[in-house]
Amino acid sequence: MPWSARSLGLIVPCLAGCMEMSPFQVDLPAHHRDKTAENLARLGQRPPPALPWRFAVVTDNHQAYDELASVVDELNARDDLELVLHGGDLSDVGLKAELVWSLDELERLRVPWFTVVGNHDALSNGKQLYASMFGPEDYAFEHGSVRFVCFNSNEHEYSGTPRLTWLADAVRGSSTQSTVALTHVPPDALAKSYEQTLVENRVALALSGHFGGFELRQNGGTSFVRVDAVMSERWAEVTVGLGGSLALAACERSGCAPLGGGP
Amino acid sequence: MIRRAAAGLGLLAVLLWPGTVAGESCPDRADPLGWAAPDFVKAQSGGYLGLATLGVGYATKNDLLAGTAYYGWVPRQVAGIEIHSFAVTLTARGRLCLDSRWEWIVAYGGVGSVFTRGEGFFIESPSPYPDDYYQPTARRYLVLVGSEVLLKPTTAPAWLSGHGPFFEVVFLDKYLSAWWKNDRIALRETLSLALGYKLRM
Repeated sequence: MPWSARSLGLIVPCLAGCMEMSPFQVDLPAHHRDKTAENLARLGQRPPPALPWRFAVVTDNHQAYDELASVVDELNARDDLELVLHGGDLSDVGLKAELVWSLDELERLRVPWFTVVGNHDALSNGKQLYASMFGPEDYAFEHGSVRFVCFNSNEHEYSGTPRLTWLADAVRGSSTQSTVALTHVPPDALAKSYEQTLVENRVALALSGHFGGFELRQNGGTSFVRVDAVMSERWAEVTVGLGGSLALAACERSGCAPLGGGP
Repeated sequence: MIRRAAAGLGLLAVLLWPGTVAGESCPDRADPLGWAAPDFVKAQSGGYLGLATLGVGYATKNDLLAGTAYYGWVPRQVAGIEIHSFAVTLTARGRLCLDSRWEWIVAYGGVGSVFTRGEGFFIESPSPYPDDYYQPTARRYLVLVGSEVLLKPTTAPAWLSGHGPFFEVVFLDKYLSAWWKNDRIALRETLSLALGYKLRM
C-alpha cells in the first residue's frame, strides 16, 4: 500500500472520530444511547430459563478497562448465565470517553446486561451523560422467577435519592418468587437508608458495590451483599434455584467459592 | 508497556523538537506595541476546549514561546448543560519562513490547563466528602502539538502582521492516564483535534 494511502487510512477515521469538541459531550450516536431499554428488549427475546440459572454481578471498574475486559471474557466463556448486572462506577470522573470505554466492554457480553449509576458516574456532567447512554436511573424488570429492582442510591450526588416511595412500589406486590435489588451505595453508608424498605418488603437479596471487598450481612429475610470491585478482577454470581432460592458465590478467574452459605 | 513507552517518547520528541528549529530561517519579528497589546488572537473549535473557543495571547523570544488564554463554550444541546471553560496554554514553537509572505510554524508543542465551571465541577470534593475524596473535575491538564501557516498580507491594517489556519492535536490528562493503564485503549482514543484561525498582530 502506498504511503499516502496508509496515511489516509489513519487520518480519515481520526478526522471523523477525533473532533471531540469537549470531554463533556452527551450528544451520543444512536448506538451508544438507551442501553437499558435495548437490553430489556434482548432479555424479553430470551426463553424462560430452566432452573437452576445464574446471573453475574460486576461493579466499580472506574478506569480498569483491561480488568473489566478480562472479566467479560470469563463471563462470555460460560453458557449458564442469563444476564449480567453492573453495580456502577463505570467511570472515574464521568467523562464521555470513560463511559464509552466501559460500554465497549459491556457490549461484548453475550447475554443482556444492566447497570446502575455510581457516584463517580455523576461527576462532571456525568448525570446527563449516564441518562443519555443508559436511560432511567430507577427501573425494574422480571426474568424467570426473579424480579430485579435497580435504583440510584447516590444521595450526595442526586438530591432526593434513594426514592423510597418508588422503591417500595417497585419491590411490593411482585408475582415473582424472589426479588433482587441492585444499587451502588450500601445502605449502611447512607443517611437516608433504604434497608428497612427492602427488609419490610421481603426483598431476598440487596446487591451493592462502592467500597470494594465482599461482605454478606443478614437483616430479617434480606441478605445485603457488597460485591468486590472488578478492578481486582472479582465478581459475584447468583444461582437461582427451586422456589426462587438464591445461592451466592464470590468469583475470580481461578474459580468461584460460596459466599457465606448464601441467603 | 513498550508500546506505551515508545508512544510517550515520540510525543515528548514532538514536544521538544520545535525549540531545535526555532528561528532558523526567519528574520526577527518586530513587536512595536510590546506588552501593551496581545500578539495574537485565535478562534478554534475542538481540542477539548469547546465548540466555540476564543483565545488571546503573547509571544516572546522571537515567537519561540507563546502563552494563550482561552474561553470555550459548549451549548446545552451538546453537553446537556451549558459548559463554560477557561484555559491557559504555554507552547514552544519552531518557525520556518518559506518566502517573504508565507511563514510556516512547522510544529509547536506545549502544555495547558482547562478550568470548567458548573454543577458537578469542583476542585475540592463537595461536602460531606473529604477534600481529596474525588479528583478535581473542574481542572484538567492538556498536552498539545500543532502546526500553523501564516500569510503576511500585502494590503492590511498596520496592526495585522499575519493570519492563517492552524490545527492542534490535544491530549487530556484523564484519558492519557487511562491509556497508560489499559492496553486496550489506543493513543488516538485519547486525543481531540482542534481546527482554528489565527490573527497575528
